[in-house]
Amino acid sequence: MTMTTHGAPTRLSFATRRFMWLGASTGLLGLAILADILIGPAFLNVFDVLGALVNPSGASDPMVVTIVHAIRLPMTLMALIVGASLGVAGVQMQTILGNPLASPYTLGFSAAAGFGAALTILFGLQLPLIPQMTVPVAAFAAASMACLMVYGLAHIRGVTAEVMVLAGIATLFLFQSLQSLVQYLAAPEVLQEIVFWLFGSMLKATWFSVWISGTVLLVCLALLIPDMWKLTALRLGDERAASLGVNVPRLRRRVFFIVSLLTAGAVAFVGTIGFVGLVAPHLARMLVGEDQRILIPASAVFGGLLMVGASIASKLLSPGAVVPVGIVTALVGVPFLFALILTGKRRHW
Amino acid sequence: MLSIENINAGYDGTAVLLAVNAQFEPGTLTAVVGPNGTGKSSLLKAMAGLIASKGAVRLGDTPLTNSERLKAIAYMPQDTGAQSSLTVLEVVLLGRLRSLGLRIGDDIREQAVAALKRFRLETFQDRAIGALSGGQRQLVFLAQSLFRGPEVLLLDEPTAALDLRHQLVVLERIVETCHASGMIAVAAMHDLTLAARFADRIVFLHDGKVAADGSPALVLTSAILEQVYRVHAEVQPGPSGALHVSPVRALNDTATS
Repeated sequence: MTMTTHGAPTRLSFATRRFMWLGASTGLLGLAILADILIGPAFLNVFDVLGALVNPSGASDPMVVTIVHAIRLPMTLMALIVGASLGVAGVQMQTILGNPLASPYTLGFSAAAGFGAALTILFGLQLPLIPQMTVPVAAFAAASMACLMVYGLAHIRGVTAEVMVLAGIATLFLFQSLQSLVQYLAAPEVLQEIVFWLFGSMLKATWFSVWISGTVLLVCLALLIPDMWKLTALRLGDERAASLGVNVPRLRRRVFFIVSLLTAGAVAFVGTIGFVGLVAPHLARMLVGEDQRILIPASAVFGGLLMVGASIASKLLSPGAVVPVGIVTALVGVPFLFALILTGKRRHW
Repeated sequence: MLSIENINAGYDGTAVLLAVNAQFEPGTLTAVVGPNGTGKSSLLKAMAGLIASKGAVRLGDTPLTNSERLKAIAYMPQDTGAQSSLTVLEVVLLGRLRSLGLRIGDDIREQAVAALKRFRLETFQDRAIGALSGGQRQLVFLAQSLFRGPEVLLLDEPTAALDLRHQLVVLERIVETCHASGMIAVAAMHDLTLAARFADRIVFLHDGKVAADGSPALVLTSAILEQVYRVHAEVQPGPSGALHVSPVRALNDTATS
């Protein structure tokens, strides 16, 4: 045989390299989380914030403790959870649809969540007992409805990537149109509230939303663990995966529901966040490859990094104020992506 | 022994396989040949449980359900240019998907590398499968199939994308494995000379039915080629002693592809 080695790296070096990337990006995420907590429109002293963070009972200024624990920590953790959820949802969407352009947006879940929220704001609806949960519940319910629509169509025509993408894009356009209709009908002050929700902002984060979205993320990650190798096999195409013993329609259906849950859990509280679910998986794939045992955590880390980075940028762009984070996610993520496209040697898709 | 009984299958209401019967002995390679669209790939997929079919597939005396076929029978599809960036080693490891967990043991990893060494591909183990040539990719997928250690291996045109050398390498490894482990191999093929040289038996499919079934010496005749392919072809022993097929001319203008 005339094949040459071309200086291929050894197994150990490849395995080490991708764990190093995961470690480095996790470390960077840790630093970004700290920076996000330290930075804010209140211009607090760094040492006061660190003191309030590490030893709240010993802090000299109770206002600092309140700002750090009631506002900044939930905002930062929510950014982390939403980013990680969208990163994982994005990588699974790209895997089950075999499409590099797929993201939690593709199947219309985010658009549906936006419609649910906008409709509730337009009519000023409020849930009894838990009025503060009205908009998140409506967003979650609408995203679930979009999920059932796509699944219903796929169930009738076959659970293939093509049918799901077509059904999803149709659902996306439907809910975008409905969103536009609601905005058209809304009075100016209501419209402003709707648009602010649709921008996506961490200012809506509370400890309650952190717990709910965090629990959804952890449950979904646990549900994905048994299917990691099957999802890896799916990257070879439906026929090869099936020949390896994967029940492809069942896997696609199961992961589709997990993605729906992740997306709805992420966007219901903070509003529509674009770009992260599309790009975080690509960044992860370029650096750690396609083995889902490491691609899933890497997508979560890169999603979190993009969101926390966007949260920092949203505070720095306009000192003394917080620009909605949904506006700046692409501003933070695009340079990352371009740099990797220009410098990466590995074919990632 | 693997036996198939009255296999019927079709797509969108069109019958592709009509009551196909055949038996396959352990330790042998059987070539399934026939014109394009005659049902070769469908037969293999039906045997593997990948498409719905009627009829029975038995391994020994035990009839296999579709899900049991997926476990007992390895199927290697035609190369369709996998563009994944999965590494070669990961692709081979997937051959034992059911044994893989969060941590890959050193023993299974070493066995996967050994499967690659049979094809001198071990130095490619960290390369992306999508970055390999069609021939190299086909060898990797064969290594994956053999790594699985199947009782039955079905191969859909395993030499279609390969150069002359790799065609020989692939078929030699398949025959070696059949002889060493008793594996039953069934390969859909187009190259009748290669089939004559490497296969213990040839099954001719024509319009979804078995037109002839037997050893190459028995069934590889000008008369059967004329009946199945609508060509005039000469069949003579080659330098190695195996039969050599030389197509001479098509018998009509529409029957070739």
